[in-house]
Amino acid sequence: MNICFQLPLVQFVLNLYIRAICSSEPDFLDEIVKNTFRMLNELSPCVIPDDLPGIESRSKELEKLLMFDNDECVRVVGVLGMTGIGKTTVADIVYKQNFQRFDGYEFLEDIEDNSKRYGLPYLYQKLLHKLLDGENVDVRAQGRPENFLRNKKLFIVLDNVTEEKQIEYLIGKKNVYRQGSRIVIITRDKKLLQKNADATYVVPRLNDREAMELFCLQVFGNHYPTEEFVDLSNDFVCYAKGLPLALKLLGKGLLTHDINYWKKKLEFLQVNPDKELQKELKSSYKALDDDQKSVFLDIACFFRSEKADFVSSILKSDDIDAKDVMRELEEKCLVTISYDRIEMHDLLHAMGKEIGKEKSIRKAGERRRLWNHKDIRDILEHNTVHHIYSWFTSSGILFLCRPFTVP
Amino acid sequence: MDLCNHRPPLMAFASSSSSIVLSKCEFDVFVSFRGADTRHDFTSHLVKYLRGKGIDVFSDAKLRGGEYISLLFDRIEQSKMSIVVFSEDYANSWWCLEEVGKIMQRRKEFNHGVLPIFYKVSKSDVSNQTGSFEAVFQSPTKIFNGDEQKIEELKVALKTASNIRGFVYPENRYLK
Repeated sequence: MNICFQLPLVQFVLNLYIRAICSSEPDFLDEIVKNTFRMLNELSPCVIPDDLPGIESRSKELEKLLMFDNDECVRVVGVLGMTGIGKTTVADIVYKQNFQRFDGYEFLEDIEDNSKRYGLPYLYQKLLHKLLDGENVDVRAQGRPENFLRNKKLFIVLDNVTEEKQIEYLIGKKNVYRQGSRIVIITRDKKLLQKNADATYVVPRLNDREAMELFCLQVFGNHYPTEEFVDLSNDFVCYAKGLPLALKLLGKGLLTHDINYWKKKLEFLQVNPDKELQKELKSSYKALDDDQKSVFLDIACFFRSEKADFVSSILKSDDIDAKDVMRELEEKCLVTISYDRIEMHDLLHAMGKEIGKEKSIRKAGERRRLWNHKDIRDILEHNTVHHIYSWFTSSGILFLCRPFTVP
Repeated sequence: MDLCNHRPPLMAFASSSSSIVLSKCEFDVFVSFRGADTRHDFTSHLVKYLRGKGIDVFSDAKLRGGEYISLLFDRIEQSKMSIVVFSEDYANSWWCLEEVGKIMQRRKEFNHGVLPIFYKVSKSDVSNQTGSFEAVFQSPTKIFNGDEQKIEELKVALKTASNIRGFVYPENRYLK
Protein backbone atom coordinates (compact mmCIF):
# COMPACT_ATOMS: atom_id res chain seq x y z
CA MET A 1 0.00 0.00 0.00
CA ASN A 2 2.72 2.26 1.06
CA ILE A 3 4.76 1.45 -2.00
CA CYS A 4 1.81 1.92 -4.28
CA PHE A 5 1.37 5.34 -2.90
CA GLN A 6 4.95 6.31 -3.16
CA LEU A 7 5.92 5.10 -6.61
CA PRO A 8 4.02 7.70 -8.60
CA LEU A 9 5.34 10.35 -6.28
CA VAL A 10 8.92 9.22 -6.81
CA GLN A 11 8.29 9.15 -10.53
CA PHE A 12 6.85 12.62 -10.39
CA VAL A 13 9.77 14.06 -8.45
CA LEU A 14 12.17 12.29 -10.75
CA ASN A 15 10.46 13.76 -13.79
CA LEU A 16 10.63 17.21 -12.29
CA TYR A 17 14.29 16.67 -11.63
CA ILE A 18 14.93 15.48 -15.16
CA ARG A 19 13.04 18.43 -16.51
CA ALA A 20 15.08 20.78 -14.36
CA ILE A 21 18.27 19.22 -15.65
CA CYS A 22 17.05 19.31 -19.21
CA SER A 23 16.22 22.95 -19.09
CA SER A 24 19.54 23.92 -17.58
CA GLU A 25 21.62 21.72 -19.81
CA PRO A 26 20.89 22.33 -23.45
CA ASP A 27 23.90 24.57 -23.97
CA PHE A 28 26.11 22.11 -22.24
CA LEU A 29 24.74 19.21 -24.25
CA ASP A 30 24.99 21.21 -27.44
CA GLU A 31 28.65 21.77 -26.77
CA ILE A 32 29.14 18.06 -26.18
CA VAL A 33 27.34 17.20 -29.40
CA LYS A 34 29.39 19.72 -31.35
CA ASN A 35 32.60 18.30 -30.00
CA THR A 36 31.44 14.76 -30.57
CA PHE A 37 30.74 15.60 -34.18
CA ARG A 38 34.07 17.28 -34.54
CA MET A 39 35.83 14.29 -33.05
CA LEU A 40 33.92 11.81 -35.20
CA ASN A 41 34.70 13.90 -38.20
CA GLU A 42 38.38 13.95 -37.43
CA LEU A 43 38.41 10.24 -36.71
CA SER A 44 36.64 9.19 -39.86
CA PRO A 45 35.91 11.99 -42.23
CA CYS A 46 33.58 10.69 -44.90
CA VAL A 47 36.24 9.46 -47.23
CA ILE A 48 35.28 9.57 -50.85
CA PRO A 49 34.60 5.92 -51.51
CA ASP A 50 36.91 4.39 -54.08
CA ASP A 51 34.20 2.17 -55.48
CA LEU A 52 32.47 5.12 -57.14
CA PRO A 53 34.73 6.27 -59.97
CA GLY A 54 34.25 9.87 -60.96
CA ILE A 55 32.39 10.78 -57.80
CA GLU A 56 35.09 13.06 -56.47
CA SER A 57 35.10 15.52 -59.35
CA ARG A 58 31.31 15.49 -59.47
CA SER A 59 30.82 16.16 -55.79
CA LYS A 60 33.41 18.94 -55.97
CA GLU A 61 31.45 20.56 -58.79
CA LEU A 62 28.25 20.44 -56.77
CA GLU A 63 30.02 21.81 -53.69
CA LYS A 64 31.33 24.70 -55.73
CA LEU A 65 27.80 25.62 -56.78
CA LEU A 66 26.55 25.35 -53.20
CA MET A 67 29.11 27.92 -52.01
CA PHE A 68 29.18 26.62 -48.45
CA ASP A 69 31.51 29.36 -47.28
CA ASN A 70 29.11 32.11 -48.10
CA ASP A 71 26.96 32.73 -45.04
CA GLU A 72 25.25 35.79 -46.46
CA CYS A 73 22.73 34.04 -48.63
CA VAL A 74 20.31 31.18 -48.83
CA ARG A 75 21.09 29.05 -51.85
CA VAL A 76 19.00 26.52 -53.70
CA VAL A 77 20.88 24.26 -56.09
CA GLY A 78 19.34 21.75 -58.46
CA VAL A 79 20.91 18.43 -59.38
CA LEU A 80 19.65 17.40 -62.79
CA GLY A 81 20.05 14.38 -65.02
CA MET A 82 18.41 11.29 -66.46
CA THR A 83 17.47 8.23 -64.44
CA GLY A 84 20.47 6.29 -63.23
CA ILE A 85 23.06 8.96 -63.99
CA GLY A 86 23.99 9.21 -60.28
CA LYS A 87 22.25 12.38 -59.08
CA THR A 88 21.37 10.98 -55.68
CA THR A 89 24.81 9.48 -55.20
CA VAL A 90 26.55 12.79 -55.85
CA ALA A 91 24.20 14.68 -53.52
CA ASP A 92 24.57 11.94 -50.93
CA ILE A 93 28.34 12.36 -50.80
CA VAL A 94 28.10 16.14 -50.62
CA TYR A 95 25.54 15.83 -47.82
CA LYS A 96 27.64 13.40 -45.84
CA GLN A 97 30.71 15.55 -46.16
CA ASN A 98 29.11 18.82 -45.21
CA PHE A 99 26.18 18.29 -42.86
CA GLN A 100 28.31 19.11 -39.83
CA ARG A 101 28.50 22.71 -40.93
CA PHE A 102 24.80 23.15 -40.25
CA ASP A 103 22.58 23.47 -37.21
CA GLY A 104 19.93 21.27 -38.77
CA TYR A 105 19.98 18.96 -41.74
CA GLU A 106 17.88 16.37 -43.49
CA PHE A 107 18.07 14.28 -46.63
CA LEU A 108 14.52 13.41 -47.68
CA GLU A 109 14.75 10.32 -49.83
CA ASP A 110 12.71 9.63 -52.96
CA ILE A 111 10.06 12.29 -52.50
CA GLU A 112 8.01 11.03 -55.41
CA ASP A 113 7.63 7.57 -53.97
CA ASN A 114 7.34 8.58 -50.34
CA SER A 115 4.85 11.35 -50.97
CA LYS A 116 2.65 8.85 -52.78
CA ARG A 117 3.05 6.41 -49.96
CA TYR A 118 2.81 8.67 -46.92
CA GLY A 119 1.56 12.00 -48.24
CA LEU A 120 3.29 15.36 -48.25
CA PRO A 121 2.01 16.46 -44.81
CA TYR A 122 3.69 13.48 -43.23
CA LEU A 123 6.97 14.17 -45.04
CA TYR A 124 6.81 17.78 -43.95
CA GLN A 125 6.21 16.78 -40.36
CA LYS A 126 9.15 14.39 -40.57
CA LEU A 127 11.35 17.10 -42.03
CA LEU A 128 10.43 19.56 -39.28
CA HIS A 129 10.89 16.98 -36.59
CA LYS A 130 14.43 16.35 -37.76
CA LEU A 131 15.31 19.98 -38.39
CA LEU A 132 13.99 21.05 -35.02
CA ASP A 133 15.66 18.28 -33.06
CA GLY A 134 12.62 16.22 -32.37
CA GLU A 135 10.46 19.01 -31.04
CA ASN A 136 6.93 18.25 -31.96
CA VAL A 137 5.54 21.04 -34.03
CA ASP A 138 1.87 20.83 -34.75
CA VAL A 139 1.65 22.44 -38.16
CA ARG A 140 -2.12 22.58 -38.05
CA ALA A 141 -2.21 24.32 -34.72
CA GLN A 142 0.76 26.60 -35.05
CA GLY A 143 0.90 27.25 -38.76
CA ARG A 144 4.16 27.19 -40.64
CA PRO A 145 6.88 27.23 -38.04
CA GLU A 146 8.85 29.89 -39.82
CA ASN A 147 10.16 31.44 -36.67
CA PHE A 148 11.55 28.12 -35.52
CA LEU A 149 13.33 27.58 -38.82
CA ARG A 150 14.77 31.04 -38.98
CA ASN A 151 16.97 30.37 -35.97
CA LYS A 152 18.96 27.69 -37.66
CA LYS A 153 21.36 27.31 -40.50
CA LEU A 154 19.85 24.40 -42.39
CA PHE A 155 20.94 21.93 -45.02
CA ILE A 156 18.07 20.18 -46.77
CA VAL A 157 18.21 17.74 -49.65
CA LEU A 158 15.05 16.76 -51.50
CA ASP A 159 15.62 13.62 -53.51
CA ASN A 160 13.67 12.74 -56.66
CA VAL A 161 11.35 15.72 -56.81
CA THR A 162 8.79 15.38 -59.59
CA GLU A 163 6.26 18.12 -58.97
CA GLU A 164 6.28 21.81 -58.20
CA LYS A 165 3.93 21.36 -55.27
CA GLN A 166 6.43 19.11 -53.50
CA ILE A 167 8.89 21.98 -53.37
CA GLU A 168 6.19 24.45 -52.39
CA TYR A 169 4.98 22.24 -49.59
CA LEU A 170 8.27 21.07 -48.15
CA ILE A 171 10.44 24.13 -48.64
CA GLY A 172 8.10 27.06 -49.09
CA LYS A 173 9.59 30.48 -49.52
CA LYS A 174 13.32 30.98 -49.52
CA ASN A 175 13.19 34.01 -47.25
CA VAL A 176 11.97 31.82 -44.39
CA TYR A 177 15.44 30.39 -44.00
CA ARG A 178 18.37 31.76 -42.19
CA GLN A 179 21.24 33.04 -44.26
CA GLY A 180 23.80 30.38 -44.85
CA SER A 181 21.15 27.69 -45.33
CA ARG A 182 21.40 25.41 -48.35
CA ILE A 183 18.77 23.44 -50.20
CA VAL A 184 19.45 20.81 -52.84
CA ILE A 185 16.72 19.67 -55.21
CA ILE A 186 17.38 16.43 -57.06
CA THR A 187 15.17 16.02 -60.10
CA ARG A 188 14.85 14.80 -63.66
CA ASP A 189 12.79 17.83 -64.59
CA LYS A 190 14.60 21.02 -65.48
CA LYS A 191 11.34 22.93 -65.44
CA LEU A 192 11.08 22.58 -61.66
CA LEU A 193 14.45 24.23 -61.24
CA GLN A 194 13.95 27.20 -63.50
CA LYS A 195 11.85 29.02 -60.95
CA ASN A 196 13.29 27.56 -57.77
CA ALA A 197 17.01 27.11 -58.11
CA ASP A 198 19.87 29.61 -58.04
CA ALA A 199 22.12 27.20 -59.88
CA THR A 200 21.89 23.78 -61.45
CA TYR A 201 24.41 20.99 -61.62
CA VAL A 202 23.82 18.71 -64.58
CA VAL A 203 25.38 15.37 -63.70
CA PRO A 204 27.45 14.24 -66.69
CA ARG A 205 27.79 10.68 -67.96
CA LEU A 206 30.82 8.73 -66.86
CA ASN A 207 33.71 8.98 -69.25
CA ASP A 208 35.10 5.75 -70.73
CA ARG A 209 37.75 5.28 -68.08
CA GLU A 210 35.34 5.89 -65.22
CA ALA A 211 32.76 3.63 -66.81
CA MET A 212 35.24 0.81 -67.28
CA GLU A 213 36.37 1.18 -63.70
CA LEU A 214 32.84 1.05 -62.31
CA PHE A 215 31.98 -1.95 -64.44
CA CYS A 216 35.12 -3.80 -63.38
CA LEU A 217 34.54 -3.01 -59.72
CA GLN A 218 31.11 -4.58 -60.02
CA VAL A 219 32.25 -7.68 -61.84
CA PHE A 220 35.85 -8.28 -60.88
CA GLY A 221 36.07 -6.38 -57.62
CA ASN A 222 39.02 -4.67 -59.25
CA HIS A 223 39.66 -1.55 -61.27
CA TYR A 224 40.66 -3.54 -64.36
CA PRO A 225 39.20 -6.49 -66.22
CA THR A 226 40.97 -9.82 -66.26
CA GLU A 227 42.72 -10.52 -69.53
CA GLU A 228 40.20 -13.00 -70.86
CA PHE A 229 37.37 -10.50 -70.45
CA VAL A 230 38.99 -7.32 -71.76
CA ASP A 231 37.20 -7.19 -75.11
CA LEU A 232 33.83 -8.22 -73.77
CA SER A 233 34.13 -5.74 -70.92
CA ASN A 234 34.76 -3.04 -73.47
CA ASP A 235 31.65 -4.07 -75.37
CA PHE A 236 29.46 -3.93 -72.28
CA VAL A 237 30.89 -0.60 -71.20
CA CYS A 238 30.28 0.72 -74.69
CA TYR A 239 26.68 -0.51 -74.49
CA ALA A 240 26.04 1.30 -71.19
CA LYS A 241 27.11 4.66 -72.68
CA GLY A 242 28.37 6.05 -69.40
CA LEU A 243 25.23 5.40 -67.38
CA PRO A 244 26.24 4.21 -63.88
CA LEU A 245 22.94 2.45 -63.27
CA ALA A 246 23.37 0.39 -66.43
CA LEU A 247 26.97 -0.48 -65.59
CA LYS A 248 25.95 -1.62 -62.15
CA LEU A 249 22.99 -3.70 -63.26
CA LEU A 250 24.86 -5.27 -66.16
CA GLY A 251 27.82 -5.99 -63.91
CA LYS A 252 25.61 -7.56 -61.31
CA GLY A 253 23.97 -9.79 -63.91
CA LEU A 254 27.32 -11.01 -65.23
CA LEU A 255 28.92 -11.68 -61.90
CA THR A 256 30.11 -15.30 -61.49
CA HIS A 257 29.13 -16.20 -65.06
CA ASP A 258 31.53 -17.67 -67.61
CA ILE A 259 32.64 -16.17 -70.88
CA ASN A 260 29.99 -17.97 -72.93
CA TYR A 261 27.25 -16.43 -70.89
CA TRP A 262 28.82 -13.01 -71.43
CA LYS A 263 28.84 -13.53 -75.20
CA LYS A 264 25.23 -14.68 -75.24
CA LYS A 265 24.16 -11.80 -73.07
CA LEU A 266 25.87 -9.32 -75.35
CA GLU A 267 24.16 -10.80 -78.39
CA PHE A 268 20.85 -10.64 -76.58
CA LEU A 269 21.39 -6.99 -75.76
CA GLN A 270 21.92 -6.09 -79.39
CA VAL A 271 18.29 -6.97 -80.03
CA ASN A 272 16.53 -6.67 -76.67
CA PRO A 273 16.96 -4.28 -73.78
CA ASP A 274 18.05 -5.62 -70.42
CA LYS A 275 14.88 -6.34 -68.44
CA GLU A 276 15.99 -5.00 -65.09
CA LEU A 277 17.47 -1.89 -66.61
CA GLN A 278 14.34 -1.40 -68.65
CA LYS A 279 12.26 -1.52 -65.48
CA GLU A 280 14.33 1.21 -63.85
CA LEU A 281 14.44 3.47 -66.88
CA LYS A 282 10.75 3.07 -67.51
CA SER A 283 9.92 5.10 -64.41
CA SER A 284 10.82 8.27 -66.28
CA TYR A 285 8.60 7.24 -69.18
CA LYS A 286 5.68 6.39 -66.94
CA ALA A 287 5.73 9.85 -65.43
CA LEU A 288 4.94 11.45 -68.80
CA ASP A 289 1.49 12.52 -69.93
CA ASP A 290 -0.09 10.89 -72.98
CA ASP A 291 1.12 13.43 -75.53
CA GLN A 292 4.63 13.31 -74.19
CA LYS A 293 4.61 9.51 -74.22
CA SER A 294 3.41 9.45 -77.79
CA VAL A 295 6.01 11.92 -79.05
CA PHE A 296 8.76 10.19 -77.08
CA LEU A 297 7.91 6.83 -78.62
CA ASP A 298 7.75 8.29 -82.10
CA ILE A 299 11.16 9.83 -81.67
CA ALA A 300 12.62 6.66 -80.20
CA CYS A 301 11.21 4.46 -82.93
CA PHE A 302 11.79 6.67 -85.94
CA PHE A 303 13.30 10.06 -85.52
CA ARG A 304 16.42 9.81 -83.50
CA SER A 305 19.17 12.08 -84.84
CA GLU A 306 16.75 13.78 -87.19
CA LYS A 307 16.41 17.53 -87.47
CA ALA A 308 14.18 18.82 -84.73
CA ASP A 309 12.15 21.03 -87.08
CA PHE A 310 11.51 18.18 -89.43
CA VAL A 311 10.38 15.94 -86.57
CA SER A 312 8.07 18.50 -85.06
CA SER A 313 6.53 19.26 -88.43
CA ILE A 314 5.68 15.59 -88.89
CA LEU A 315 4.48 14.94 -85.37
CA LYS A 316 2.40 18.01 -84.89
CA SER A 317 -1.34 17.67 -85.09
CA ASP A 318 -4.38 19.67 -84.14
CA ASP A 319 -4.08 18.43 -80.58
CA ILE A 320 -0.36 18.31 -80.14
CA ASP A 321 2.14 21.07 -80.55
CA ALA A 322 5.05 18.73 -81.09
CA LYS A 323 7.63 21.46 -80.68
CA ASP A 324 6.42 22.21 -77.16
CA VAL A 325 6.25 18.55 -76.27
CA MET A 326 9.78 18.02 -77.52
CA ARG A 327 10.97 20.86 -75.35
CA GLU A 328 9.20 19.28 -72.37
CA LEU A 329 10.92 15.99 -73.10
CA GLU A 330 14.22 17.80 -73.20
CA GLU A 331 13.50 19.38 -69.83
CA LYS A 332 12.77 15.95 -68.47
CA CYS A 333 16.17 14.71 -69.61
CA LEU A 334 14.69 12.19 -72.02
CA VAL A 335 15.97 13.76 -75.23
CA THR A 336 18.56 16.34 -76.04
CA ILE A 337 18.45 18.76 -78.91
CA SER A 338 21.82 19.88 -80.08
CA TYR A 339 22.63 21.60 -83.34
CA ASP A 340 18.93 21.30 -84.08
CA ARG A 341 19.13 17.52 -84.09
CA ILE A 342 17.13 15.46 -81.67
CA GLU A 343 19.14 12.91 -79.75
CA MET A 344 18.58 10.48 -76.93
CA HIS A 345 20.67 8.18 -74.78
CA ASP A 346 21.14 4.78 -76.40
CA LEU A 347 19.49 3.00 -73.50
CA LEU A 348 16.46 5.29 -73.50
CA HIS A 349 16.33 4.72 -77.23
CA ALA A 350 16.28 0.97 -76.70
CA MET A 351 13.64 1.37 -74.02
CA GLY A 352 11.46 3.53 -76.28
CA LYS A 353 11.67 1.06 -79.13
CA GLU A 354 10.79 -1.78 -76.83
CA ILE A 355 7.77 0.03 -75.44
CA GLY A 356 6.71 0.92 -78.97
CA LYS A 357 6.89 -2.77 -79.81
CA GLU A 358 5.14 -3.92 -76.64
CA LYS A 359 2.05 -1.87 -77.34
CA SER A 360 -0.55 -4.44 -78.33
CA ILE A 361 2.13 -6.97 -78.94
CA ARG A 362 -0.25 -9.72 -79.91
CA LYS A 363 -1.13 -8.36 -83.29
CA ALA A 364 1.51 -6.40 -85.03
CA GLY A 365 -1.12 -4.85 -87.26
CA GLU A 366 -2.56 -2.98 -84.32
CA ARG A 367 0.71 -1.46 -83.29
CA ARG A 368 1.05 2.18 -83.93
CA ARG A 369 4.76 2.00 -84.42
CA LEU A 370 6.53 -0.53 -86.58
CA TRP A 371 10.25 -0.27 -86.88
CA ASN A 372 11.35 -3.84 -87.24
CA HIS A 373 11.59 -4.77 -90.92
CA LYS A 374 10.52 -8.34 -90.22
CA ASP A 375 7.32 -7.19 -88.56
CA ILE A 376 6.63 -4.78 -91.38
CA ARG A 377 7.10 -7.40 -94.06
CA ASP A 378 4.97 -9.79 -92.09
CA ILE A 379 2.14 -7.37 -91.91
CA LEU A 380 2.28 -6.36 -95.52
CA GLU A 381 2.39 -9.97 -96.62
CA HIS A 382 -0.53 -11.01 -94.48
CA ASN A 383 -2.44 -7.86 -95.19
CA THR A 384 -3.43 -7.26 -91.61
CA VAL A 385 -3.26 -3.54 -91.97
CA HIS A 386 -6.13 -1.57 -93.34
CA HIS A 387 -4.41 1.61 -94.16
CA ILE A 388 -0.88 2.88 -94.10
CA TYR A 389 0.66 6.26 -94.00
CA SER A 390 4.32 5.98 -94.57
CA TRP A 391 7.29 8.23 -94.29
CA PHE A 392 10.83 7.63 -95.23
CA THR A 393 13.23 9.25 -92.90
CA SER A 394 16.86 9.77 -93.69
CA SER A 395 17.74 6.67 -91.69
CA GLY A 396 15.59 4.77 -94.12
CA ILE A 397 12.93 3.70 -91.67
CA LEU A 398 9.41 3.07 -92.71
CA PHE A 399 6.94 4.85 -90.51
CA LEU A 400 3.39 3.69 -90.24
CA CYS A 401 1.05 5.99 -88.48
CA ARG A 402 -2.52 6.98 -87.75
CA PRO A 403 -4.30 3.69 -87.30
CA PHE A 404 -7.10 3.52 -89.74
CA THR A 405 -10.22 1.50 -89.37
CA VAL A 406 -12.41 0.58 -92.28
CA PRO A 407 -16.05 1.26 -91.47
CA MET B 1 18.56 -9.22 -25.89
CA ASP B 2 18.73 -7.22 -29.04
CA LEU B 3 22.11 -5.59 -28.98
CA CYS B 4 21.90 -3.97 -32.35
CA ASN B 5 18.64 -2.18 -32.10
CA HIS B 6 19.85 1.09 -30.73
CA ARG B 7 18.80 3.44 -33.44
CA PRO B 8 15.95 5.72 -32.59
CA PRO B 9 12.81 4.41 -34.27
CA LEU B 10 12.04 7.81 -35.69
CA MET B 11 13.22 7.41 -39.25
CA ALA B 12 11.25 4.62 -40.73
CA PHE B 13 12.25 4.94 -44.36
CA ALA B 14 14.34 2.38 -46.07
CA SER B 15 17.58 3.85 -47.18
CA SER B 16 17.67 3.37 -50.90
CA SER B 17 20.58 4.80 -52.67
CA SER B 18 23.16 5.78 -50.12
CA SER B 19 25.97 3.58 -51.16
CA ILE B 20 28.73 4.76 -48.89
CA VAL B 21 30.24 2.79 -46.12
CA LEU B 22 31.65 5.29 -43.70
CA SER B 23 33.54 2.86 -41.56
CA LYS B 24 33.46 -0.70 -40.38
CA CYS B 25 32.46 0.60 -36.97
CA GLU B 26 28.92 -0.17 -35.96
CA PHE B 27 28.59 2.69 -33.52
CA ASP B 28 29.78 6.23 -33.47
CA VAL B 29 29.96 6.59 -29.74
CA PHE B 30 30.26 4.28 -26.77
CA VAL B 31 29.10 5.91 -23.54
CA SER B 32 30.77 4.76 -20.35
CA PHE B 33 28.98 5.78 -17.19
CA ARG B 34 28.17 4.73 -13.65
CA GLY B 35 24.55 3.68 -13.86
CA ALA B 36 23.79 4.29 -10.23
CA ASP B 37 25.03 7.88 -10.50
CA THR B 38 23.74 9.14 -13.76
CA ARG B 39 21.59 6.62 -15.58
CA HIS B 40 18.32 8.31 -14.82
CA ASP B 41 19.28 11.85 -15.44
CA PHE B 42 22.39 13.11 -17.07
CA THR B 43 23.48 10.09 -19.09
CA SER B 44 20.06 9.16 -20.34
CA HIS B 45 19.54 12.71 -21.42
CA LEU B 46 22.93 12.90 -23.08
CA VAL B 47 22.33 9.68 -24.97
CA LYS B 48 18.92 10.82 -26.08
CA TYR B 49 20.35 14.12 -27.19
CA LEU B 50 23.17 12.53 -29.17
CA ARG B 51 20.77 10.12 -30.84
CA GLY B 52 18.43 12.97 -31.65
CA LYS B 53 21.31 14.52 -33.57
CA GLY B 54 21.71 11.38 -35.60
CA ILE B 55 24.74 10.06 -33.75
CA ASP B 56 24.75 6.31 -33.37
CA VAL B 57 25.25 5.68 -29.67
CA PHE B 58 25.88 2.48 -27.80
CA SER B 59 24.95 2.69 -24.18
CA ASP B 60 23.43 -0.21 -22.36
CA ALA B 61 23.68 -0.92 -18.70
CA LYS B 62 21.92 -4.22 -19.27
CA LEU B 63 25.13 -5.71 -20.54
CA ARG B 64 26.75 -5.36 -17.21
CA GLY B 65 26.97 -8.61 -15.40
CA GLY B 66 28.78 -11.91 -15.66
CA GLU B 67 29.95 -13.05 -19.04
CA TYR B 68 29.00 -9.85 -20.79
CA ILE B 69 32.25 -8.04 -20.13
CA SER B 70 33.71 -9.40 -23.37
CA LEU B 71 30.61 -8.23 -25.23
CA LEU B 72 31.08 -4.82 -23.71
CA PHE B 73 34.66 -4.78 -24.92
CA ASP B 74 33.43 -5.72 -28.38
CA ARG B 75 31.10 -2.75 -28.34
CA ILE B 76 33.96 -0.44 -27.42
CA GLU B 77 35.97 -1.87 -30.28
CA GLN B 78 33.03 -1.38 -32.62
CA SER B 79 32.73 2.29 -31.73
CA LYS B 80 34.73 5.12 -33.21
CA MET B 81 34.95 7.00 -29.97
CA SER B 82 33.82 6.97 -26.34
CA ILE B 83 32.31 9.51 -24.07
CA VAL B 84 33.31 8.76 -20.49
CA VAL B 85 31.03 10.28 -17.88
CA PHE B 86 33.08 10.43 -14.71
CA SER B 87 30.77 10.76 -11.74
CA GLU B 88 31.16 10.46 -8.01
CA ASP B 89 30.84 6.72 -7.78
CA TYR B 90 32.46 5.90 -11.11
CA ALA B 91 35.62 4.34 -9.70
CA ASN B 92 33.68 2.20 -7.28
CA SER B 93 32.38 0.13 -10.13
CA TRP B 94 34.53 -2.69 -11.36
CA TRP B 95 32.75 -2.43 -14.72
CA CYS B 96 33.48 1.21 -15.15
CA LEU B 97 37.14 0.74 -14.42
CA GLU B 98 37.34 -2.14 -16.88
CA GLU B 99 35.66 0.04 -19.45
CA VAL B 100 37.87 3.06 -19.03
CA GLY B 101 40.92 0.79 -19.10
CA LYS B 102 39.79 -0.73 -22.37
CA ILE B 103 38.84 2.63 -23.84
CA MET B 104 42.21 4.16 -23.07
CA GLN B 105 43.95 1.12 -24.49
CA ARG B 106 41.97 1.50 -27.71
CA ARG B 107 42.86 5.16 -27.79
CA LYS B 108 46.53 4.37 -27.56
CA GLU B 109 46.54 1.57 -30.09
CA PHE B 110 43.78 2.44 -32.53
CA ASN B 111 43.26 6.17 -32.24
CA HIS B 112 39.89 5.62 -30.59
CA GLY B 113 38.44 9.04 -29.73
CA VAL B 114 37.79 9.91 -26.10
CA LEU B 115 35.70 12.75 -24.72
CA PRO B 116 35.65 12.89 -20.91
CA ILE B 117 32.87 14.56 -18.97
CA PHE B 118 33.42 15.35 -15.33
CA TYR B 119 29.98 15.20 -13.89
CA LYS B 120 29.97 16.67 -10.43
CA VAL B 121 33.49 15.46 -9.80
CA SER B 122 36.68 17.40 -10.01
CA LYS B 123 39.16 16.70 -12.69
CA SER B 124 41.99 16.39 -10.20
CA ASP B 125 40.17 13.71 -8.21
CA VAL B 126 40.03 11.57 -11.33
CA SER B 127 43.57 12.39 -12.29
CA ASN B 128 45.15 11.73 -8.89
CA GLN B 129 42.63 9.21 -7.60
CA THR B 130 41.66 11.37 -4.70
CA GLY B 131 38.24 12.19 -3.26
CA SER B 132 35.64 9.68 -4.31
CA PHE B 133 38.18 8.08 -6.62
CA GLU B 134 40.51 7.25 -3.75
CA ALA B 135 38.80 4.53 -1.77
CA VAL B 136 38.95 1.76 -4.32
CA PHE B 137 42.68 2.14 -4.77
CA GLN B 138 43.22 2.10 -1.02
CA SER B 139 42.17 -1.51 -0.85
CA PRO B 140 43.58 -2.93 -4.05
CA THR B 141 43.01 -6.54 -3.07
CA LYS B 142 39.31 -5.93 -3.44
CA ILE B 143 39.63 -5.12 -7.10
CA PHE B 144 41.30 -7.28 -9.69
CA ASN B 145 42.53 -9.62 -6.99
CA GLY B 146 45.37 -7.28 -6.23
CA ASP B 147 46.78 -7.53 -9.77
CA GLU B 148 49.25 -4.70 -9.36
CA GLN B 149 50.10 -4.31 -13.00
CA LYS B 150 46.46 -3.97 -13.87
CA ILE B 151 45.87 -1.48 -11.10
CA GLU B 152 48.82 0.58 -12.26
CA GLU B 153 47.44 0.54 -15.81
CA LEU B 154 44.11 1.77 -14.53
CA LYS B 155 45.71 4.63 -12.62
CA VAL B 156 47.55 5.68 -15.74
CA ALA B 157 44.33 5.34 -17.73
CA LEU B 158 42.45 7.62 -15.35
CA LYS B 159 45.26 10.14 -15.35
CA THR B 160 45.50 10.18 -19.12
CA ALA B 161 41.74 10.39 -19.53
CA SER B 162 41.49 13.36 -17.20
CA ASN B 163 44.01 15.25 -19.29
CA ILE B 164 42.02 14.95 -22.49
CA ARG B 165 40.02 17.97 -23.57
CA GLY B 166 36.57 17.52 -22.14
CA PHE B 167 33.76 19.04 -20.15
CA VAL B 168 33.14 19.81 -16.53
CA TYR B 169 29.64 19.89 -15.22
CA PRO B 170 28.15 21.95 -13.57
CA GLU B 171 30.85 24.52 -14.26
CA ASN B 172 29.89 24.33 -17.90
CA ARG B 173 33.34 25.20 -19.01
CA TYR B 174 35.26 23.81 -21.92
CA LEU B 175 38.62 22.65 -20.73
CA LYS B 176 41.91 22.90 -22.43
